Amino acid sequence: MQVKSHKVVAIAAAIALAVVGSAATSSSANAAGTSLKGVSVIVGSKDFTESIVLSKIVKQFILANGGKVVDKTNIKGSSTTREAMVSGDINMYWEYTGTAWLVYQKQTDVNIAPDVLYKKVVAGDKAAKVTWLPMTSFNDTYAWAITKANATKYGVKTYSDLKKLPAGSAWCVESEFQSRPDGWAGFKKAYSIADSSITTKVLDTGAIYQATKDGQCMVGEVFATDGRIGALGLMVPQEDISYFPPYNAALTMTDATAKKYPQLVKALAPIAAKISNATMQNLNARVDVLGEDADTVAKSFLTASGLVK
Amino acid sequence: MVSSSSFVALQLQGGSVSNTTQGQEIRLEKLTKRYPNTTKDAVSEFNLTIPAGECVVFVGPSGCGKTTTMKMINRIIEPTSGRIVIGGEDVTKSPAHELRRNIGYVIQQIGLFPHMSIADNVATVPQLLGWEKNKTRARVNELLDLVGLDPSEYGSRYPKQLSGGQQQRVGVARALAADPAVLLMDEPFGATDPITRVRLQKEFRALQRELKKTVVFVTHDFEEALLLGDRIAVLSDQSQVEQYGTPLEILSAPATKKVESFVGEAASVRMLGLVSLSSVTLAPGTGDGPTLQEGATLREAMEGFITGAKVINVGTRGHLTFEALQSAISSTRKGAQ
Amino acid sequence: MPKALAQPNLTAGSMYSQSARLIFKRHRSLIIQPLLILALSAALAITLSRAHLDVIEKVTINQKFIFRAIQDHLILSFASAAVILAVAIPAGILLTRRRYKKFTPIVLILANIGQAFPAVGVLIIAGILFGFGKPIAIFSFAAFGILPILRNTIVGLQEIDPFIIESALGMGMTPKQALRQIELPLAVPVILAGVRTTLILTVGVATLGVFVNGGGLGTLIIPGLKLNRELVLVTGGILTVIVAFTMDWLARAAEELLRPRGI
Repeated sequence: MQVKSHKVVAIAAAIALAVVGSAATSSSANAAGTSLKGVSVIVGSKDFTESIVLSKIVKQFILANGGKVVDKTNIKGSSTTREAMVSGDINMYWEYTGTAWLVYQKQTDVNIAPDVLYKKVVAGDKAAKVTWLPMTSFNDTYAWAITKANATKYGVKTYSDLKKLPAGSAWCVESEFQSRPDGWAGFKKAYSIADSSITTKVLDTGAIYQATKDGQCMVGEVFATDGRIGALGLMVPQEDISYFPPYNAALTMTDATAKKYPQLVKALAPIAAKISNATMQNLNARVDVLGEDADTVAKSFLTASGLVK
Repeated sequence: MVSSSSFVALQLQGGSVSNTTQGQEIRLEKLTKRYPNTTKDAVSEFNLTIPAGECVVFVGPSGCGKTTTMKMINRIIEPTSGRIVIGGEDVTKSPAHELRRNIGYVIQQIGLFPHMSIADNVATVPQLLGWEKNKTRARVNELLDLVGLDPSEYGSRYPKQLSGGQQQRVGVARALAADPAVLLMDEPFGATDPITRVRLQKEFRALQRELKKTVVFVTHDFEEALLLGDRIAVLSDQSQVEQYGTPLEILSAPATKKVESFVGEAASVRMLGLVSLSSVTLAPGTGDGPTLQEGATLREAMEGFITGAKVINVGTRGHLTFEALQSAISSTRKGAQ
Repeated sequence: MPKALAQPNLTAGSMYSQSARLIFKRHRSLIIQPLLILALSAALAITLSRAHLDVIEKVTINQKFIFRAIQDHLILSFASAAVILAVAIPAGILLTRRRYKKFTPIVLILANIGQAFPAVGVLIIAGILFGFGKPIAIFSFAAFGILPILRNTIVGLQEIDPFIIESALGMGMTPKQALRQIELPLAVPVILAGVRTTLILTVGVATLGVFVNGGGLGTLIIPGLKLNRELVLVTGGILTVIVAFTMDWLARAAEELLRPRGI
C-alpha cells in the first residue's frame, strides 16, 4: 500500500511540475509553444496603425512560441524604417510592394499586376540583402475617399467621376504624398485634373479622415484598408484609370536574420495569407475607431485565425 | 477737472522766468495715517501751521513718521483722515496730479529718470504744464546754473554719468523748475559725503533766503535742522509734535525730556552759532585784534577770544570786548526764554 | 541765453572718442550677422543649383516651391508674433497695475500650460474645430509662444526702481503719463529681449504648419524625413535656421534702435 501511495504522489508531482513548467515557459496567455525558443529579434514598424498592427501580430506570434522580441514599432516615415532595418537597429518590419518598387528601387513603371510586381520586388531587393516573406492578399494602396452623401449627390462612382465635383473643391493630401512619384502630381496628370479647377490642402494624415467627414475636405487622400473609412461614413470610388501601383504587404527582414533563424522564416510564412482586405480593415478599425490596444487586437487575431492555439 | 483756486491755478498760468513765486502757508489739520492691518496709527492727528516763506524742518528719530507726514502734504501717501490747506485752499480732495505740479518734491533716493537727459529731467514739470519750449529751455539753464552745474556741459548728459552729489543738485533743480510755492524735501542731502553735504546745505540755505519758498524739510540730523530751519518741529512716535519753535527756542528751552535728549549736549554753545554779530552793540573804533564780518556769529567771536584775542573787530562798525560778548550772550538767553 | 555747446575734447580716452569705439563694438555683431546669413544663403543656393535631383527631390527643391515655403513661413512667424505682442504686452502691463496684481499667478499658469501642450495634437484639434489653414495655425502658435513676452513684460516693469515712479508721480504725472513716459521706456530693453525670444520660438514652431494646411518650411522637412531624402530635409532645416537668424538680427536691430539712451 505504501509503495502505491508513493507512486501516486510521484505521478501527481510530475503532472503538477509539467503543468507549472509549461506555464512558466509561456509568456502569453495563449497555449504554450516552444518552436521559436532561442529566437531573439527586434521588430519595427512604420508610424501608422496598419503597420503597427501587422508588426504586433508578428511580435505576439513569436512570443506565443517561446521567442524573445524587442518592440521598436512606430518609427516615423517609410524610408526611416527601412533605413533602421538596413543599419541593424531593427531586424524586420512589414513593407509594401509598391513602396519598395518606387521609392527604394527607384522604378517608375506602375502598370504591373500584384504578384508579378511582388516577384520583381523580391528579385530587386536581393542586392540590398533583404528577404521578403509571402505577401498578403489585401492591397493597401493610396485611395480617395468621399462622404457617401456627396457621392450620391454628385453621382460619383469612379475616380474620373470626381471631376464632376464643383470647381474649387478641396482635395486634402498629406505632405509625403505630394512628393512621391506615385503621388499627387502623377495622379492629376493621369486623370487630367487641372490645378485651377480644385483647391489643394496639405494636412496630417490622421486629420484627413475627420476633415473629409466634416466637409473641410471634399476628397481626402486615404489608405484603402483604413478602418476609419467605413466607420466615418466614407466610400472609395473605383479606380477606373489604373494609376496607383499595388501595395501588398509582406514582412521584410535582413538576409542575416533570415539565415540566423530559418525556423522563424518558416513559422511566419503562413501569416500573410490569412489577412484579407476585410480582415485588415476590421483590425484597423478596432484600433483607430474603438480605441483598442494594438497588442490586444493582434493577439485576438492570432487566436481567431487559429495561428496560435 | 481743473480747479480754479488761487493756489492750484497759480502755476498753470506759469510765472515768468525771473519772478519767483512766493511761498504759501501750509496748514495741516488732524492729519492721520493708519495702514491696513495695523494696530497703531503711523501718524496720529498731526496739527501744524507752516508759515508762508519759511523753511520748517521735521526732525526726529527713525520711524517716528516724519517722512510719512511730509508725503501726505502732496498726497503721495493719502491721509486716512484730516485736512491739508495750502494758501487758504483745502486741497485734501483736489486732483492729486494737479496739486503736485505746484509742489516741488525732492526725495532721499533722488529718483532722476535714467533714460532722460539732465535737461529733460529738469524740464519735467514745465512740460507737464505745457510751457512753451523756449521758456522751458531758458528756465532749465537758469536752474542748472543756480545749483552750480554748467548747463552746456551737463544739460545733455545722463544721470548715470553724474556723481551722487551732482544728481542731488539736479533733483533740487528739477523740483524748482516750475517755480512752485511749496517745496517738500526728504533727507535730500543724505546720500552724499559729509563735505559735499555741508556745501549743499549752505548753498540751499542761501537759495532759500533768496527764493523764500515754503519748505518742509525732513531730516534725522539735528545739526542740519539747526542750520536750515526757520522753525523746527521735533517729532516723536506717531509724529507727535514734542516742540515746535525756532532753533533758538528749542536749544535754549527744550519743552520735554524727549526734546532734551534729542538736542543732546552743549546746547548753549551751539546756540551761539545761531546769533549773528549784527545784533550786538559794539564799542566804536577798531582795536588790536582779528576782524569778523557782520554775518559772523557769536560763536566765531567766542572762538576768537578762546584762541587769545583781546578784542574782536566787527566789519567797520566797531569792536567787541569779552565782557560785551558775555552780556550779549545772557541777553540772548533771556530773549529766548 | 544758454551758452554754446563746449567744443568736444577729442584726445584718446575722452568721452566722445570712447563712444565711437563702443558703438562699433556694440554693433559689431549687428553688422557681421547679416553677412553670415547672406553667406549661408549663397552657399545653400549654389549647392542646390548644382545638385542632381531625383523625381522626389524635384517636387520640393525648386525655386517656386522654396520661395512659397519661405514666404508662408514668414507670414506664420510674423503673424503669430504680432498676435502674441498684441496680447502679452497689454496683459503684462495690466498685471503690474495695483488693481490687477492678484491675477498674475493664474495668468502665468495659463501661459505655462500653453507651452506644455503637445503642439501637433492641439493644432489638429483646433483645425478640426475651427478650420484648417493659416489663421488657426497662427492662433495656435501664438498660444504656444505667449509665455516669454508676458513674463518679460511683467519682470521688466517690476524691476524698475519704485522711487523713480514715486518721483514721477510726485512731479505731478498722472499714472497713465508715468506709465507712458517713464515705466514703458525703462522696461523696453527687457520687453524687447522677450520679443526676440518669441520670434525665434515662432520660427521653430511654424514648421508645424505643414500639418494643418498652413504651409511653411515644414513642407520640406516632413517629406524629406519620411521619404529619406536628406537633401530636402537639410534644405528645410537650413532655411529654417536662416529665417531664425534673420529674425534674431531684426529683433536685435530693433533693440538697439529702441533702447532709450542713458540706460
